[in-house]
Amino acid sequence: MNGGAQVLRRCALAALLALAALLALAGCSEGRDAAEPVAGAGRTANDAREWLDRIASAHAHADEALAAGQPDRARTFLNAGLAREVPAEIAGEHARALRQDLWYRLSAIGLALEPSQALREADQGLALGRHDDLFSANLLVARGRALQALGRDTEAASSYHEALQIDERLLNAVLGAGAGSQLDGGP
Amino acid sequence: MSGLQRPTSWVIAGATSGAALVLCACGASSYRSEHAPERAAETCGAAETVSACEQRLQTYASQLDALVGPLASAPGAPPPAPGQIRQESLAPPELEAPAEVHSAPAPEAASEAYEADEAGGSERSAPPDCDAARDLRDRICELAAAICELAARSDAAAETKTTCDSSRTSCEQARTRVAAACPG
Repeated sequence: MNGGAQVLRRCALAALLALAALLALAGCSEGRDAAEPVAGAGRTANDAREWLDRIASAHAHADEALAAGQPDRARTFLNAGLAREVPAEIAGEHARALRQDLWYRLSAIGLALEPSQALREADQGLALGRHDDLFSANLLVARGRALQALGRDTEAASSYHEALQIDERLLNAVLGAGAGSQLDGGP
Repeated sequence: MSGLQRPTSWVIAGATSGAALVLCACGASSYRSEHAPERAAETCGAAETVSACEQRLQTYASQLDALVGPLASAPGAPPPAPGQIRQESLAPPELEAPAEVHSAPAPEAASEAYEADEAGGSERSAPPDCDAARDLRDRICELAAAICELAARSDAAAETKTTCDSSRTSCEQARTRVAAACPG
């Protein structure tokens, strides 16, 4: 497998877009609160914002620790992110996705340190729910890597194949409707 | 301000820059410049109205929903638009790619079929998201390569060899389909 830094940079991409969305929503709410208070905005919004900030901070600090060659420290930050209680305002699927990405990064970092731990972390992420999305696919790849590192090649191939099948369904969705990208443009 | 119109492209350059810049654009600053100082400087200088911010964030929310459950099988729930799945979000975990799953050039016949389809008034209203499609194709083929690498080992189980064959077929089909849908 390729080097850790490069792998980790790529592995974080899926949830980072999600983070961008959630953090942006929080940021906008905050901005509007200052100018024109919105009914319903209050402590709960602040809780959500704080949680999102903590998750973003966990990723950022993990990035820095990895860049400094400190994977254990990076794991500490990511675990701290997972330890935060999810506010009720965060949609369940969003929380699941962001937490799965934290598990994915933990597993990816842990692979070089302790494959059996990496396997447990991938499984813990998958225990949050398997869906036809990139978060589940990434965790299945992480699981496959850990299994491969443990010499459990048949199981590793099976995990890789599960991830591949998710990607196939995603590709079908992309090619099936042929709708134009809604994401290229902005206001 | 072209950067603000394609915020997800920043994610490619830096792992957290997407989130950072969105925050920046929306008025939060605590997280903005650690990982993309140049971009932050480029974009944070201009104020953005709340309404513009919210309008853009609706797009983000759509992206997130596409990421979380692009094919979610909730009963009765309509499928999200596949075009919402973004290239950056599809960046695969990296896997070594053994030689046996190397791709062939995009078949001309496939491209011609696509062009004919387009010329003939296909039901498509717009081309697919080819960046996303190519990334998914790459993911599929990299995973197939990893599986086949395991299958090539002397002690590989017959089951793994079968999975390799199936995966290689998936890779070839993905290449053909993407080449057809995304010529050039």
